[in-house]
Order: sequence, then C-alpha cells, then structure tokens
Amino acid sequence: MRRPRGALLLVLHAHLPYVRHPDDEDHLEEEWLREAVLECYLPLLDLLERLADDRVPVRLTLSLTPTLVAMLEDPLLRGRIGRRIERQQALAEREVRRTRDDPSLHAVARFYQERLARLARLWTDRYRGELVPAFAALRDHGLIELLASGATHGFLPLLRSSPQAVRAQVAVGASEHARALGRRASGFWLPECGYYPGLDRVLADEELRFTFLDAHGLADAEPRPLLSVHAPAFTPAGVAVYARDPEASEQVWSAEVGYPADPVYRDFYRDVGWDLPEDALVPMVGPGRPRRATGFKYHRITGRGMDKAVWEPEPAFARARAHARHFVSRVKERTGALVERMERDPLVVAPYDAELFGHWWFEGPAFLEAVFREAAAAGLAVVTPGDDLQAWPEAQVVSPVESSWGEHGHASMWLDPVNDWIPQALHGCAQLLAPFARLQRETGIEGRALVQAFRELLLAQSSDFAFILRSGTVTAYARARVQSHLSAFLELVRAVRTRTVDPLRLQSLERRDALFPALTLSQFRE
Amino acid sequence: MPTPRSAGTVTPRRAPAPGRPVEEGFFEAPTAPRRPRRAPSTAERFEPGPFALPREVGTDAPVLLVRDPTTLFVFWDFRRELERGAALGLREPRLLLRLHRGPDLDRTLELPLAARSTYVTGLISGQEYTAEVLLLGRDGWTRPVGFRSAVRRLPPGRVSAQLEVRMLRLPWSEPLSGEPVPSAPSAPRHEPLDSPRRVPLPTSPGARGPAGGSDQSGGPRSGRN
Repeated sequence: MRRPRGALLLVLHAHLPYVRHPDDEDHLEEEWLREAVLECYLPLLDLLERLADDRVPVRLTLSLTPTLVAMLEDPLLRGRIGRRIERQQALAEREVRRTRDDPSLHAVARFYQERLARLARLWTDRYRGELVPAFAALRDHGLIELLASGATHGFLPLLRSSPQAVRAQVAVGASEHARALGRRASGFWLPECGYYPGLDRVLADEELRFTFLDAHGLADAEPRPLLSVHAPAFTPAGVAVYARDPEASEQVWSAEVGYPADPVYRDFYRDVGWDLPEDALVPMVGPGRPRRATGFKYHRITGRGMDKAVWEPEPAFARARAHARHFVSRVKERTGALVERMERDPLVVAPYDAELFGHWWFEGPAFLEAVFREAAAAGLAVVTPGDDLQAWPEAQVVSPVESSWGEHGHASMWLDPVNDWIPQALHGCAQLLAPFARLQRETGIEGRALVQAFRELLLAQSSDFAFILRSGTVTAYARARVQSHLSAFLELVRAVRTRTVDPLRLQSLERRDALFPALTLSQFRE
Repeated sequence: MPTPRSAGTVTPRRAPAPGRPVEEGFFEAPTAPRRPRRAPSTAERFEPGPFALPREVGTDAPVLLVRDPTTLFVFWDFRRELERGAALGLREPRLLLRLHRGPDLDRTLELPLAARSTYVTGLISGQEYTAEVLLLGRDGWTRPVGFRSAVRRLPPGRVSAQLEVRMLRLPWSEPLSGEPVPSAPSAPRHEPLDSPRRVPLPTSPGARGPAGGSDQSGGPRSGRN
C-alpha cells in the first residue's frame, strides 16, 4: 500500500429537467437546454480536450442525468440547437456593427463573435451535434468517470413511501445510462444529494458502488465516522459514500463570499435582451415573443444596481486563473495538514452543478481548466471515486442520516405548503400503477399505454418542478408540467382499466414525452 | 435555466478551519448551518392542492415524510369505505391525529374533518415516530381510520455519540449485491470524433483505445499516479 497523499475529488452534476416542446421552437423553458449546451457542455468538452492535448492529468467525475441525456440524443432538439447557434451568430454580427463607435463594448461584441464561431465549429465539425458519444469517448480515454443518476431526478426521500417509485428512479437511471453511454456506471448521483437510511440497499442492488452526500449526511452518521468528510465510509449495504466538503462548496457556491461574486466577473443579469429595442431582438427571440436573455452581456458585476462597468474578458479570465490557484492551494494546504494523521488519502470532495460553470458563472470553465493545470503544477492529485476505492478498499461502516444538499440540509425546498401536494399525488399514483406492474401487462396497446403512464409518472417526479414552486421563479410552468404529467398518467390508467385506449391519443403522448425508449413496466417493482 | 439548488448561497461566514482530530482520534469537519427553515404551522395546510386524485385512490394508513430534524409532514387519503366504516354510528365526528414517539403518545391534534395533511412541528430530532388517524364522536367514542403509519425516524441533527469503529474491506472487483454484475447492453455506435488538432479519441479513425496504450500513442494521460 502506498503512502497517503492529499487529493481533490472534483464532481460536476450535469442536469436539466426534461424540457421538450415539439410544437414550439422558441419555447422559453426549452431554451434552458440550448443555453446549457452553448454555455456549459460545449465549453466543458472543449476544455477537457485542450487539457488532454496539453498532457495535463485530468480525472473529473461527471454525472449526466437521464433527462439531460435524452434531450442531448433527441434529433428534434439537436436540430434546434444548431439553428440557435446560427441565430446567435447573426446577432453577434449585428452587435459588432451596433457597437462600432464604442471601443469597450465593441471589444466585447468581437469576443462573443469569435467565441460563437468556435462553438459553431465544435458543435458542427467536432461533435457533429452528438455530445453523449463525446462524453463516453472521454470516459473511455480515462479523462472522466461518469455517474448515473435518478431517471427524472426524483427527490428520493419524498418518494420513499412508494418503494417501487424509488427503485424505478434508480433502476431506470442506471439502465438508461448504460443504454446511452455503452457501459454501466459504478457510481450514482443522488438527486439533490437526497438520502435516507435504507436507500443504500437499492443502490447496491443495482451494483452502484458509491454515491455522494452533503457533509452532515456523513458527519452525523452512526457511529461517528472516524475521518468525518475527509474519506468515504461504507454503508451497511457496502455502498461507499463521499461527503461534500463545506469549505470547497462555499468557495464556489456562495453568492457572498464565493469566487463568482468577484466584481471583475461578468454580470449574469444584465443582458441586451432587456436593453435593446424589441424589434432588434426579433431575429433572436422570434416575432411577438417576450424579451428574454440572449447571452450577450456587456457588463461586469461591479456592484448592486444597474450602473455597471463594462466587462473586460482578459482581466476576468486572469482572475479565474488566480482563483483556481487559490482553490488548489487551499486544498493542498488542508489535505497536507491531514495526511500525516491519516492512514489513507485525505480527500476534499468538491461537487457542483455543472451548469454553474459557464451559465451562472461565465468564467467558470476557465476556472475549472485552471484548477487542473494548477493541481498538476502543485503536485496535487485529482482523483475519481473509482480511483480512490481501488487504491483504498477499506473504510469504516456507518449509517448515514437522512439529508440533502438543499436549503438547511433537508427536504424543506421540496416539502412546503406551496408544493406538498406533489408527494401526495405521486404516492397515490404509485399506488394505482403497482397492481398493473405486478401483472406484468406489457404487450399490446394497453401495455404501451401502461408504459407511457409509467413515463408520465416518472416525469411528474422531477425534483425540479417542486423546487421551482418553492423558489418562486417560473411557477406557472412548473405547476402546469406536474399537472399535465399526472393528468396524462390518470387518463392512461383509466383507459387501460376500461379498455378504451385511444391509439391516436397514446401516440400523441408518446411523441410529446419521448424519452427512455427501453422503459418497461417491470422496472416499477418493490 | 432553473436556479442552482444546492445550499451554500447563504450568509457569509468566516472560512471554516481545516478538519482536525478531536477526541480519541476522531476528525470533525465544520458542516453548513442546519437550522431548519421556519416550519409551516398546521393552519397553513388545509387547502386542497391543485391536483386531486380520484376517490378510488386511497391509502390504508397515514404517510410520514421528514421535512427537517424537528418537523414531519403527515398526509392521508383513506379509501372511502375505510372512512365510512370508521364514521359509522359516530355522531358529529371530528378528526384526530395521534402522533406516537416510540411506544408513547406524543401528542393529539384535532383537525378539520376535511383535512388530508398537516405539518407536525417541534419534534425531537433523532426520535422515531408513528401516526394514526381517528374519528371522535360527540359522545367521546373514538374509532381508528385505517392503520397506524410506518415508523419514521427524524435525522439526529448532530454528530453521533457512538464511537465504535468497524472497518470493512470491499475490493472493487467484488459485487455488492451478491449477484453477477449486470452486463452492459451493446455499446451504441459512436460517430468518429476526428480533428487534426485534437488528440485521437477512441472513436477517431485509426486511434487506439486506452487498453492499447494510448499514453504512448499521444493520448491523454490519466490523473492517477
């Protein structure tokens, strides 16, 4: 056994709810996918390949949720992403012309024009519009370890009253990962880091060997974990649990003291979509459409209020590199202080939403790239859970506690007077589906209808909609989505019971909610 | 895009100190503040939600969900025949929710007859609870509706006082479930990712995969060392 050394375990959780609206190319919420592809996933692939080209050691842990994978695979949505890039490029040309008399704004417009040209080349020439195989290829080449996740990102502690629902989220998530990415994942990203005692058995039954919790999920475990959050522990079912490091989280997440709050960084909220005359936006947002963000943002955070200084790319990216240097030095310092006292590698586990990097924090991908470069230069190992568990197969056995990474560490974001009707409805619908699953009715039009009902129930379980209702953003959309999936579920189950399945209606639902092609009713089991 | 949901965008705090060994060699790490959000009062929860299930859907027992270390959400939607059976012969029935902590009665709440859920606050973290719903007649007779709920244990909200250390060695090659590892489906066809500038990826024409010694052939190296 080699001597311990400090290591960073960097995890990105890439997830979007299923937002597919076949009848409306300019649908506001479907735009989430296009923003994430252009601002987060393409830059992430690009930086990983650039690091590989430069022979920088890269071991990134990355979860791709099944809903995101389904959308990235979808030919309709891929075509729309291509057209969105063309529209962005057309807007860039107009912005370069519009800003020609203002050198500081003009420099930013030119920056966007060049950036979009690069993204267009990546999308069209390098990846040919197919990002899922690109991630699989990077995994196969040893740059990333991919994680599976819940089928539709259901918050499992609130589904536990229906064991079939929990098992379906895990089993469908694992099998969809294998189908789309060609290999089963060894690890599982628990949606919202939502854990409850006993969930480890469900993971173990799917041969999922490790997962992640928020710090207190492990730190408060019984018995007390010897190494706290600095090493994984095994659950009673043998699943390794890694815990989020509080300091590394705060450095990147905190809106007050985190790196992204630096005033030199680009401001997220001010966008020409709110500043330009409406007719100038028509080519981008469509005729008669409300204003929306375009991605053309010219200002830096500066301070609160709208009076903001113009963003300058070079100082901003230099600051991202400086922040990466600080991040790595802190990890090295902290693990260095632990390494002499531990008989295994002390870890700093740093999980983040992948969409933070590039969308919310524009300079985030530059930060990530610099973290790998700085870690290599500083001799800090960056590992994945697979690396870690193979090197250190022994760990303490503990029972982690019910927890999440949401506000105050529990379920209050997803269980509140504004959204607590959802777990009640989901519980009732699961009760309705269970007898059909036991009968294994999967053939003929009724079988198809039941599978589609199962699909609709999975979609209604998405944690995103309950979260939106609680956070108060696009609440009408979130409420309508849950109601729509639950209504479709009930409609299909009633039709099966009365043997009145309408083939055209069924086909229309299958086309609307067209994910998980290999779904079977047998995946809804206790 | 939905806003990030991880906690951490909270009030500024001083940077936590690095983990340090404390009693008997145990390490500790400062974890995020876990003060529960203000728990909803029971009065907030009697309006029906925006989605109604058909009446034939029903449960036999109340369901408990953990909201935070001191709050449970209890809901029930009994089948109609259970409700009718319980109400039979009771005059002007009222609805009672009894919450038990372990084997002991913790509290009894009287709720509107039409209530289908409630939050129960001020509970003791780390304790096990069950709930049952009853109807109370004007003459003082009570009758249970359905069964008692399953047991739910609230999270402890603090580090454990148990200091026992039991280690497990679990080699990576050993299956967890005791069953053969499920085989992967046939790999999807990956289109080649070719670019003269980029390192050859496994799907690029003429490229060798990692097993073929990609490090020597110019491919990226693993971070493992």
